Amino acid sequence: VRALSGNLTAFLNVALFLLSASKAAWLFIGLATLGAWWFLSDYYFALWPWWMDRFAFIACSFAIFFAVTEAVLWIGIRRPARRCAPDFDSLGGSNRELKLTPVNWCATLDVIACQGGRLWAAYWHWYCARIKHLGFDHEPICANRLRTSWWFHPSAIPQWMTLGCLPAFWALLLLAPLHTNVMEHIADIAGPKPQEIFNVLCLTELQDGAATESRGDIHLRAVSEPLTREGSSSVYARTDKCVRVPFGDFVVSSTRFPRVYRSLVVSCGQGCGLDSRDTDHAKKTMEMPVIPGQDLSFMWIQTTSDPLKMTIALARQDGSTLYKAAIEP
Amino acid sequence: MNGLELPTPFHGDSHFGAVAIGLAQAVALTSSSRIRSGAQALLPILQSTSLERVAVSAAWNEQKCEFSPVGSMQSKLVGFCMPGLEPSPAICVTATDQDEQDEREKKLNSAGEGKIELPLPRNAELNYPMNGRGLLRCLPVRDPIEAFHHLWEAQTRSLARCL
Repeated sequence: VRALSGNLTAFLNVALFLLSASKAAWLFIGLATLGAWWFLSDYYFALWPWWMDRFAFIACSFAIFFAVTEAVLWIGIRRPARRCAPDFDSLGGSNRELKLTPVNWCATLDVIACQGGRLWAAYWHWYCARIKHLGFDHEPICANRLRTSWWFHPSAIPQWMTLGCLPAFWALLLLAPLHTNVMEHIADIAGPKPQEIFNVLCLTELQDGAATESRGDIHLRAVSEPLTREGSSSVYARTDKCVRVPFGDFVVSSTRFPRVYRSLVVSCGQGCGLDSRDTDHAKKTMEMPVIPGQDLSFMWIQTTSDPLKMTIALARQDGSTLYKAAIEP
Repeated sequence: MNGLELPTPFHGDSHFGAVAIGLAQAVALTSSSRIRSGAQALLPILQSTSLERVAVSAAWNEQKCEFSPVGSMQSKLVGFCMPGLEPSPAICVTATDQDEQDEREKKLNSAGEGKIELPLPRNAELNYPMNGRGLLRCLPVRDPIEAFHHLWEAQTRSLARCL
């Protein structure tokens, strides 16, 4: 328990030092957090659960912060401390019981600071400054309480506030883009390609003589047939075998939209239904989130002999339409 | 020494080093304002150095104004490390030429002159084997201030591992 609490207090001190006194650490952790947010927060469309989409970057950022702090503690502080160990121990192993006044601790820490590199010196000078703030009339402090002796002094408030900056940064990244156009602007800059639907595939089953699949005494054959369009127009039409069946799946391929919210809004005319092969349960409109890099499919059923009069649209989070296509308008 | 019989090795000027070092720290701790300005820089060293586990065995050489070696080092070291004496010393401060004195005593002893005790076998790093308590390191210094410097530096270095 003693070793664990010792490691914990040392870890916290190094973390406070890094966040309150090291611009390089802030820059590294800040950039790593931004990178994790950029690549892990697709804003609703990753294949993992919603909470992963929101909090994966926080876990990643914390892991980086933890790793940096541990690295500084073990490589920057503890390893040099072992290296500068004296060839004789005048305290006879009773280091932790030594009691000194703050002014003498400051002198001791200043001497320790001179025995290592820049990071080492910066840490011990920062530590010394914390002890100095306790005041020179403070009672003697035992070595095993020195790490925590300044934690609850008013002078420690700025240090603790810097530790709170990291969660604040996470909250900013977590909340701000959801309700603003920040992500839209960033996505526009990052990916200037036009966002569009570029292919619709009809997947269905056709009763046919040459059976490939047996379902009782009915022989069905799988059909996979792209809908036709004239040039680059946004009007698609069924042809050939797909026209002969009253139901199936449409598979929509669209541009990748990483990190921004896109949904596919499908609406159906009088003669068709969506999301079910049962006419009673079919819907007239439906909205589905678009997963970046993945095709999206939905079920349709034709209820009359009229054209489908279906529209499929890519929409932003605020509902505005980016691209609209029609299937047999 | 009325009524108090000290062991033979504790008679003589061997106490000078201990008294000088102890007195320097006592003055620094109790009357720091009386220390002249030129020596104020030494205050943290004098006040901070822990002497709890430091043994001193050094006399004073008035001509050279520095510590001088003491005789019968073996008995003194045995005395420092008597079983039951707590806390046991972690280091023993001696004069810089204490090893020469030990060699002289060794030669005299081998020549059969006098009743000088045989110095303890010592390794190259000035460590003396002591009463089954491992090795007692000796710190050869010229004067009390040098002793404080060495002890403080060692103390800060060992403190760096636990702060």
